[in-house]
Amino acid sequence: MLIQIDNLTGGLQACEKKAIEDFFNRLEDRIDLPILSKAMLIEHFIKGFEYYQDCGFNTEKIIEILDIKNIGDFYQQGKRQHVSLDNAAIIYPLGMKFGQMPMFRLAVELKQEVEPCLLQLALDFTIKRFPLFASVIKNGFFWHYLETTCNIHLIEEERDIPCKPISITRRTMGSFRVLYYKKRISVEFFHVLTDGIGGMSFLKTLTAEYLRLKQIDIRKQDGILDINGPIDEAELVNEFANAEGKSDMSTFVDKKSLQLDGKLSSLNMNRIMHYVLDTDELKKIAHSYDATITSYLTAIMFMAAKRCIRAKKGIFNIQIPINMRKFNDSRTLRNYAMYFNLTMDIADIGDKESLIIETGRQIKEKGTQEEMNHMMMTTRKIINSLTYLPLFIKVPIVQSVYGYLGNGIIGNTLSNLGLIKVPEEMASHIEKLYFILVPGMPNRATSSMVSFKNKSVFTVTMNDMDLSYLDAVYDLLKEDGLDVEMEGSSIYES
Amino acid sequence: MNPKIIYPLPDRQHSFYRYLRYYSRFAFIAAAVICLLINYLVKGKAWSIIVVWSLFSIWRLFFSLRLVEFSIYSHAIKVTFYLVVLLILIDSLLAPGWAQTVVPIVLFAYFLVMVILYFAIYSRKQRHLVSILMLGLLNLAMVPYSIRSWPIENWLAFAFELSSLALFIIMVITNWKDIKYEIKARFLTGADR
Repeated sequence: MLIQIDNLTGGLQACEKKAIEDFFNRLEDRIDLPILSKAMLIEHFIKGFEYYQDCGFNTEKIIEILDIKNIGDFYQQGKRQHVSLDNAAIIYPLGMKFGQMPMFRLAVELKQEVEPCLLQLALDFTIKRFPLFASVIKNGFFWHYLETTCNIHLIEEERDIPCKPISITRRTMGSFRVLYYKKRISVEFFHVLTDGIGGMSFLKTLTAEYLRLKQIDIRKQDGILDINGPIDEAELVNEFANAEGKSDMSTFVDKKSLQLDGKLSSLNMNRIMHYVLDTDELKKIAHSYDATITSYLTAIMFMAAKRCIRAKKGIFNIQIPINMRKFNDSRTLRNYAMYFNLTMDIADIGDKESLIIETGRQIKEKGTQEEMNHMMMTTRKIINSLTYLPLFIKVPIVQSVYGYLGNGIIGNTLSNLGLIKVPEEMASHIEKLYFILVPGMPNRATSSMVSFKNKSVFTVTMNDMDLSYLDAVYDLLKEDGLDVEMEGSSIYES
Repeated sequence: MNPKIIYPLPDRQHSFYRYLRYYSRFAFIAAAVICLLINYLVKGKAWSIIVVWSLFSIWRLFFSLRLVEFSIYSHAIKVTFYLVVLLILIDSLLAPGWAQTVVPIVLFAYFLVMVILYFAIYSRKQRHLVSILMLGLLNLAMVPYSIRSWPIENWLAFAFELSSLALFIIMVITNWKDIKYEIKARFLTGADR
């Protein structure tokens, strides 16, 4: 046996010792990884065993909880598979530069402290259900692509700035990380893997498995997948390939947007601020303006931006990602979102009422299925036209224009995941959800929002040395009488 | 506004490499420009091209690492490529007459070491297969350069090139299944788009 399990069997009856030895022998047979990885994976089980023994569980029950079927045949070196990136993901590795990576974080705050050994096991068990998340990015001759792997993924204690770029340079490194800190479980994704919806499905499934290991059974519904169930091919589909409609290049063209004043942080993130709001109260305020939450918040963002921009001329754009699953029925866990820009002349940003009417009008006009389909078709057309250009030529071209054509035409983003539902037995163990986006260069701020039960967490991530925008947002929300609970990070770069 | 801090303060900011990279860029460019200028002013052999290539190589090898698929093997190819070009430049611009022999020896030695490592050490060999094959192809690409005056003078280079070819063939034969897979994967055009 690779690792000694004497400390697990001390003081037990012979039949229990035998059961434990059999369990670990079967486990070893199931793992076909390099010796160090194999030892680490077995160590996760040993720690799990120790945890349950300390909790007073008997051997039979522990073996039932940690059933080897939970790792399936994932850790047996199987056939490698290569997968093309989806149309939205394809730009990310091309535009990636040193220290800059389009990342996002989804996090759940539980009501109890996280038990690291159980979270690690939950990850070991969950990952097989998300084969594309367990893949590495590789260089092709024409495009980057994903290759599935059976490597183990290790959880980490959170010690660093959120959404720090993941080192994907090594050929064994995945494109996501799982972190824990006090009561919080966070998953940070390189956007190449998935979008917020796919990421949320992973976080929910991981949390449900963690809770199962804590002896709380969760029903497999509301986006929680059965970790031992078969992989649904529909979850791996690149839905952009099924887009229909006309292409229209003008959907990508926009004027350069103003940016918030202030020097960019050298760390790509200077502060995260969560404005925790009561969902009913927020809805009530938005409805009092005859608006949706998104149009209300974007109006707040425009007004706050105006307070932080000295320029008197120019436009300010806010990008709104749209989940295409709401138009087209899809179970894909890959990227399936498009976006549009809300545009305001900085001189026209005046009173809140008229601004909310204008943002509402633009959302209705630009966020239609037809417009989004045009954009999908255009993306497809552009990508197809670039296909046969070798990667070593594409990379420098995209890198030189990405920041200015991509992020340069927006000043801020509002990505709203909406109300997240989970089964009641899971909801009672969750305090809040968080969603963090990283601003792309040269943007100084980016915003995201997620609601759970009656708490909406509106997050602003600043990449600016001047943080007055955060105060402006706070003041504007307070002006409407909203009760705002503030949470966030320290200032990273002073 | 008095937020509750819910994120740990990082132990240290990892920006040293970023700053080093940022400021080194200017130092490298300045050094290259000064060398070119001095060389132009004092005339003589074009030694500044060798300096510029060396600076460029150092930048590419130590300050501009690959963000995707970096490995010792892929880096070894990069090192080999920059070194070979440097040797050829020195031979052509400063002291001619030896690179035709030395370059095949260097390339073959690199290739041999990599092939031995490939077969001896790593359990998951296929990960590094493409890098090794690229090194083999670089070897073969140097054939016309090395044997341009063959057979009168350069039989030694020819012998090394032949050895490289033999090694390359062995690699292809023993890894044919993985090579087929790699070709299919690396040349993905995204037909499902």
